[in-house]
Amino acid sequence: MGRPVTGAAAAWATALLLAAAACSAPPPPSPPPAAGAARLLPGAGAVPGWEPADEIQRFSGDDLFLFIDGGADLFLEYGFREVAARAYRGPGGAAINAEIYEMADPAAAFGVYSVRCGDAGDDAAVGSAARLADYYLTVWQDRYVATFTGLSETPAVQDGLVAIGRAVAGGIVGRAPTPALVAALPAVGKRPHSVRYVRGPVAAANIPLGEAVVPWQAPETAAARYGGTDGPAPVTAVTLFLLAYPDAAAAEGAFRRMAAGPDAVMDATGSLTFMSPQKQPGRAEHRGRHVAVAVGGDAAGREELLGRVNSER
Amino acid sequence: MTHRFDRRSLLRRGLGWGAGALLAGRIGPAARALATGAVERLNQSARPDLAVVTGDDYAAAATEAVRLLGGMERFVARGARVAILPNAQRNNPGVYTSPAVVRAVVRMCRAAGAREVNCLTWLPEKNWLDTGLAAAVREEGAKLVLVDMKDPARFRPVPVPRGVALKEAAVMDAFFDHDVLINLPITKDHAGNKFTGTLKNLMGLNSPSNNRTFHRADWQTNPDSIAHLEQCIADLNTVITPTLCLVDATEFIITNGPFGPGELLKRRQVVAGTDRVAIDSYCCTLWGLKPGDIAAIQRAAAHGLGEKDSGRVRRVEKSL
Repeated sequence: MGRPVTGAAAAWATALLLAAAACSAPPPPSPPPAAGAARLLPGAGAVPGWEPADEIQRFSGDDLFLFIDGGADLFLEYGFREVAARAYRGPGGAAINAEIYEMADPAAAFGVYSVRCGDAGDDAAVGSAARLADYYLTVWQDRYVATFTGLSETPAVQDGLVAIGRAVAGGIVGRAPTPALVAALPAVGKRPHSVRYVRGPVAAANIPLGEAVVPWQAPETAAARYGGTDGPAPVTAVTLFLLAYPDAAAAEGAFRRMAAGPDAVMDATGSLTFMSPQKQPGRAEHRGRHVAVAVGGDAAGREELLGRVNSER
Repeated sequence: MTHRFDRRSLLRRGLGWGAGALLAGRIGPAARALATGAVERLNQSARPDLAVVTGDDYAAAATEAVRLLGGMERFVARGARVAILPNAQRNNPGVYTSPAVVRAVVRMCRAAGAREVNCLTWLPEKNWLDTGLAAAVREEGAKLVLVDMKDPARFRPVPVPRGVALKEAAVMDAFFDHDVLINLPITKDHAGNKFTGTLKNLMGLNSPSNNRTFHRADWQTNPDSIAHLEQCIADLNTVITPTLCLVDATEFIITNGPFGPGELLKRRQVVAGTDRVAIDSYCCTLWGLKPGDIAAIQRAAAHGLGEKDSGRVRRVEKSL
């Protein structure tokens, strides 16, 4: 039997008020001038064994399409400033591509990092957060998210990824914390590497079950996966989305719009049950300028997870 | 008026050796001169619609896939001018068309008697050098035709009469000098569309500035904008019909597409055919997607560009 939700409304609101107080409204209207991602790329002799192999390429604003074509949408959705890219050559002719994306603010950089890392790889001690997968390393620190891609999968290349990554991270001044909305996700039972921070439909469509919250049109969303057969309760895997709107009226408007949907039912407690576009069951609750949405798993698991949002604060 | 050069209509028209080149309503001069006598070859057997060949030698897989479709002579007449369209987006693993596949295609075209084989692109030369595709093209006797993406004179306005969202394309001027188009995408993940394959690859012939219009101004707030992008892709495909498609499904990314780096899947397959909808419907299943979830496939099928029902597609599979 799941925990009753209605009695915890005050605690729920308190938790999210704390998050709201720390949240910066995304994206900031006047971002600071670019510090220049290019200056972070190591020059000759900066990383033992690895030397620049070509000139630095730089793209800013919508010109990002010229560099990564359809991949640009994701970065632009978060708020993109500039990318600087360069190739490096190392032992035995091994090659690594380095790309440093300067985003509008640290939360935007964290969001791109969270979506692009996905579930893959292992944590690495580089920058504020880093993930090393088979042949590539992704790093987040402050307003920057960087990818380092080995063109082959060898131990020497993996060492090179970390070495170049550390050289880049070492040049970044500042070490912003994770977005406050992410910090508001319940800690207990959170699956490793499952946290995502989203600012629009492109990112939402690229995270597990994210299409369920695309219709909510929240400007800011934090998500994580909980439970599953080999983890703590809930027994069934449920994904929690915390949605933040500019104000309570906007959140209420979204909630009412979704409640009017064909597959949505409002219960006596004011909670909304619905079916996502991908036919995943969901449950949502609205407090202040936030909405919490639990998707997937069974009804008890969804209710329990929403209750945990309350109980942990 | 537009014309479809699918296999059935070609048979009726007596243009069976190839789907001609391809911009709807236009056939190159070589195609007109050399079309006769080919219908008989097509009627000789019930050839597959889709050939899927698996193997570690990707050039051999490409060659065998085309052989299963009837051989390159079915698509490239002696004296034809052939345009090829590989993907050279970046040299990250699983992001660009395998040079081995491109080499095999150029070789087959030349063996079939092609007068020239040109690789058309508005991407910078660096992409082709870094990926090894420039070397593959040149060493096999083809030419890399680099088109200045910022020069509007290098692109020709093309009305899209059946376009639902796209009303005018801007197709690379050099394309019109060819009789045959061979579409050579790599299949992979795409952040906006979930999937990229034969249909989306044709954006490589359209000008970047026109492609940019596929992204609506309100794409950041309107979820329908991704659907708009996919409709534009399907619309573009109504005015450009490749003679043949070979899809590199050997090693490709299934996350962080289309640029990568991302999770790499090594299926070691080359997929060949002329039906873009059937090919893409097959390729998306290689990593668990459903054709019904890929809007570009559905909208291209709605345009009548191909068969989305796998039960109605004759697919032959072979391992080397």
